[in-house]
Amino acid sequence: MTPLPLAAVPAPHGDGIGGFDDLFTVERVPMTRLAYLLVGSEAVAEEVVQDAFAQVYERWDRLDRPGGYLRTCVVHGARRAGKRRSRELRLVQSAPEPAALEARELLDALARLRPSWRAVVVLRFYGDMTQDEIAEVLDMRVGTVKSTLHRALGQLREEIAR
Amino acid sequence: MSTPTDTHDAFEADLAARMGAATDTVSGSGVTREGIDERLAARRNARRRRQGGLMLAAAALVVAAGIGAIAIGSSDEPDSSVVLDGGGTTEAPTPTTEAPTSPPTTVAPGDECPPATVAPQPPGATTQPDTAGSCVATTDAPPTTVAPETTAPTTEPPPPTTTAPPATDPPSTTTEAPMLTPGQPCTAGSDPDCIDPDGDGSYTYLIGGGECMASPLGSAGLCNDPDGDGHAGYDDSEGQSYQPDLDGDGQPGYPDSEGMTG
Repeated sequence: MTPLPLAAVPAPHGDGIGGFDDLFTVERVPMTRLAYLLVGSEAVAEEVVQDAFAQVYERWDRLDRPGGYLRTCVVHGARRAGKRRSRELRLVQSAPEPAALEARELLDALARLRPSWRAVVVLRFYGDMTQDEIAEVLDMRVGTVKSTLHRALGQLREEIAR
Repeated sequence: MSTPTDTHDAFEADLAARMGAATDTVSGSGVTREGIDERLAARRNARRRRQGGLMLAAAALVVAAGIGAIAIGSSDEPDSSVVLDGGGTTEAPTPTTEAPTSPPTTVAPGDECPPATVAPQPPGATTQPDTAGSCVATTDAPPTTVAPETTAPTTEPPPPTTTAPPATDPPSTTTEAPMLTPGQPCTAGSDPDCIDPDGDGSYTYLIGGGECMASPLGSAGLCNDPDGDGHAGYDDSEGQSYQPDLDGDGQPGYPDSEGMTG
């Protein structure tokens, strides 16, 4: 399992291009991977991440934790993209992308989850975030996160076991 | 779900491992600074377009409000143009007509702007890309120019205030107007403006009579109609702040607020 700097996103303080570039360098890949799990397509994930970085860039001076804000932007952007292109995503996932068969199974299983369930699962097990953090990012109650996680895991277990 | 906790944890660990493995091939190479810059430019353009639309909508509202106000004014005071002696109320129309021209929407959508207006943007000013098409500062300016012009008319409220009063007293007076002719005798108590200025028991309906009697002029016996114009108190021919009856409700014949102190 790859190291996951998501939850511990460094929050480079200070103005100027240096700070933003640091964030970009550190978070570009992890955020793209996070988005990839959420939307199931690398191309869409890259679009989502670029848009998220643009949002961070615009608000850079006002952000206390740019890394956290970036992650929130990615998650929300991925959800928007998922809603917009749910049909396309299914097609994209069935198309041959550079992913192992096992990985494809996982992506397919994730794609069959509701977007909010998928986000909870990915943030929990890929982002290694706590339920409180997930609740904050997704603007949910902690109880909702808990129940969502339970249901999503149940569905995933069935999907993957097939 | 009767899954034991152990297997549940194992499944979760497996899930996390699978997720990590599934993303190993994702390099994020498509995420570039240039791409971000393009996004920024697109976002700015979209924002500018939105603001332009808002400005147009605001301008349309102002125009509609102006037209409405004029229409209401003309319907409420059909003969106001005759009554008006050149009073200050002529200021009213001008603000509303000026407002439509104010929407500097023509400025907002401007494609070009000095680099300095873009500079205040976030961090990487030096790497900012398509500055040619982006200008945020100009979009900020217009709202401030619109505001004063739209508020300016409201600071000169003569017309609105003339339309407002009808809601309180006028309805009754306007309905009774046909029966009560200014300057003619009336029945005591039939109207607030049916007054007895001389105290001799002869009641006369005079515009603004009620207010005049309530003022110190009433006790001084100065609320009669010396010039016979149907208005209580001093004649208006001497410029004693007589205000024309703009809304036809027969109300402000006598100065109730302005300097009729002597």
